[in-house]
Amino acid sequence: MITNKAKKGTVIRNVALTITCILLGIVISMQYKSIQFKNTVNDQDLKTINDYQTRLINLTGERDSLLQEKTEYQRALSVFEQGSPEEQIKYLMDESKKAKTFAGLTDVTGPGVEIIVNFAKEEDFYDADTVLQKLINEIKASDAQAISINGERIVSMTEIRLVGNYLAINNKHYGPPFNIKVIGNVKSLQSALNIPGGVLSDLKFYGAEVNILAKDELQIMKVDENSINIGLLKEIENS
Amino acid sequence: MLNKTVNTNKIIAGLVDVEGSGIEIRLDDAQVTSEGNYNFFIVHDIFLTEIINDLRFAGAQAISINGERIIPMSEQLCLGPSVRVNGKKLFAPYIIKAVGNPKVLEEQLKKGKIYSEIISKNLLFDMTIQNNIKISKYNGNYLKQISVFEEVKE
Repeated sequence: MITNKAKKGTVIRNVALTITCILLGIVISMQYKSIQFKNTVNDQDLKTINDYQTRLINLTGERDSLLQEKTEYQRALSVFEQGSPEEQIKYLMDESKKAKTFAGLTDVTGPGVEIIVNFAKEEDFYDADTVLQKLINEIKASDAQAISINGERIVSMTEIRLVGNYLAINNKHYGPPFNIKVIGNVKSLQSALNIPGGVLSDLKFYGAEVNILAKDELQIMKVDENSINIGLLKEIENS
Repeated sequence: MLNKTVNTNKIIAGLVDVEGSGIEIRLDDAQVTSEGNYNFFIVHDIFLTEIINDLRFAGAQAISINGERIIPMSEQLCLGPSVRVNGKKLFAPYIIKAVGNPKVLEEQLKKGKIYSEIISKNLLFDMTIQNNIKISKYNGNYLKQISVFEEVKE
């Protein structure tokens, strides 16, 4: 009798334990699923947040430049409405000078870096245009303000292309070594160029030897105006 | 006379909208046909850099990518799924507009080394010749980009 009762108790306990385990299993799996579900939602949220951040940065930049443009126009308006003829001429000269500086039509000086690029083997020179383009692109991305290669000022329409045994830069021919002068923030230029796995290791792969020197003051000459053509461009009025 | 000089400088600097004959290029990522390295299917910064360079070599007088005017210090830099140009993130498809002699532009682009790579990678590439291409001015803060210069000689 007693053994029978004890057996019955064990069975009930086992059944109860089984049911508890099953329930626990279901609860854990539900919990797990809900956490997983939440994770996917978070990824989407992150993507949306990232998109909005990108848009915010772009729009803030646009707003800032529009505000500056507005200030510029207001200044121009007051000069042309109330200013003396001398002031008006001075304003136009000033505008012209700033545009010229931006376009690379003036000699400039400032702090920066000087970079010497050479090729140890002759056959490596056949990638020289790719090498210089990658390097110049990286320099531009590091907020440089003026660049020259062997004295040729880099302007908006400057090409760097291999033609036979030389590089065509602003319609003129250059061979190695290439002496690149850059005016800009020395620290950001140096860190951008020297970053491990960055452009320098890329250039090494192409067989280029690169030396970088920081300079307190560099002079970069203006572009040869004969190399600039704007004959096909018609200004759109009121732009 | 003074006004004309100012305008010429602004045109060279990319600070006014311009129009003229030229070509319009549309470049988009390839359609993914198999699993694997997706890097193979997308438009990288170097493609844009090389296209612009070939257009310059062909005598282009003004260029823009997705409305961003190419200025002396314009970069093309891969940034995740986008390419940074003039500090802004641009996404595919990339529309490259260039004012110049359309025939020369087309010819030189097809001779350049990037064209064959674009074709071999099956990137979506389309080029049309147009009589009147409009290219907008640089709309960033250009004064910020001449701030380091200590002295400018005339």
